[in-house]
Amino acid sequence: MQGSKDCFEQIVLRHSGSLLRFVGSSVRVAQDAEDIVQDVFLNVYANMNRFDCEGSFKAWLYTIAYNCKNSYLRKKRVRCQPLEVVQRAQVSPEEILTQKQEVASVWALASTLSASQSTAIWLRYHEQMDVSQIALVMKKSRMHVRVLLHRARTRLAGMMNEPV
Amino acid sequence: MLCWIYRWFLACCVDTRTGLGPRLDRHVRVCRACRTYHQTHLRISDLLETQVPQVSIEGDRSFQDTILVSLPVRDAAPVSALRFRHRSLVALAASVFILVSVILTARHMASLENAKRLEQTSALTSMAVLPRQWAPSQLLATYGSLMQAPLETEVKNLTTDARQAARFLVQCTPFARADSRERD
Ligand SMILES: [Zn+2]
Repeated sequence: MQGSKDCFEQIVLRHSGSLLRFVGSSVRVAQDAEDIVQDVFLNVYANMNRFDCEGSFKAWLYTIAYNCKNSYLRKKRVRCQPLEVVQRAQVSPEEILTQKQEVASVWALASTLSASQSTAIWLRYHEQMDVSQIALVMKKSRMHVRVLLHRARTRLAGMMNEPV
Repeated sequence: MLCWIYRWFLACCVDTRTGLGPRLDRHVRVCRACRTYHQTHLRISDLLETQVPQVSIEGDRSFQDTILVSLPVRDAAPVSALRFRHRSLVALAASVFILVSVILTARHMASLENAKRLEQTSALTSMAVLPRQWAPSQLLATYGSLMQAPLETEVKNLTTDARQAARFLVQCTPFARADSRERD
């Protein structure tokens, strides 16, 4: 019993930071992001016996996080749609490029992509998952994930005035 | 003309970080647009990899403590064990129930068979029993009375026969038809 608690503590220590970043990339309110991550770990703890040991633990963990994040965003969209529109307008890529005098961080631009594109980019480059793992997390085909990554990079190139 | 196909394969190479094959390499060298496309995607990919937001492995200790404190008291492993024990108990109860019902049904069938057999035997024995008037004592009594008053019995029989013959003749006479014709 104590062993499983210790093991779980290790999981929390290891993944809470990156999960918080992952969730925070789409959920702007820090408190909400923390609540979602807490929910993710509670889900993981409750369903530990369902984890297929042959699969990737990271992919399983991020699948739960992705679902929790999406359900939060769905609820939020239903509750306060006008506010969301205003917030989106506030962080347009042009603003990021013009307001700051330095070259904008590619990740700041990535946060303005569509939710699925930025998630795919995050999982690929931040979590270093391969296309099949991303497909598993996002419940999409590998082809769809490739298209998402391709479009995301093309859009980023466009935002950074790179020739495509 | 087939540049979009080459670009799709080029994007796959960027995703998987693998080198271009000889055909792709040849096309990229010849086609300027595809070369630019490939270089741009590689550059964006490099930027995404090098500028990854750093996350400290330790993270926020107070936040981690909050998560660990919020865990339910009951551990995950005992829950699954309990669930397994419940499942095995249910399976055991179900098998006992099935066994008992099978035994009860078999017994019921056996008793039904016995009842049927008993019914058949009693019918046979009842058929074997003679009517009461045919009992030897009864037959002897009837025979005795006949011998004592033979004439009286004969007269009684004759009277009955004559009465029945008269009734038959009355039924055969055409009086009733004649009456109906007169009325018409
Ligand atoms: Zn070409």
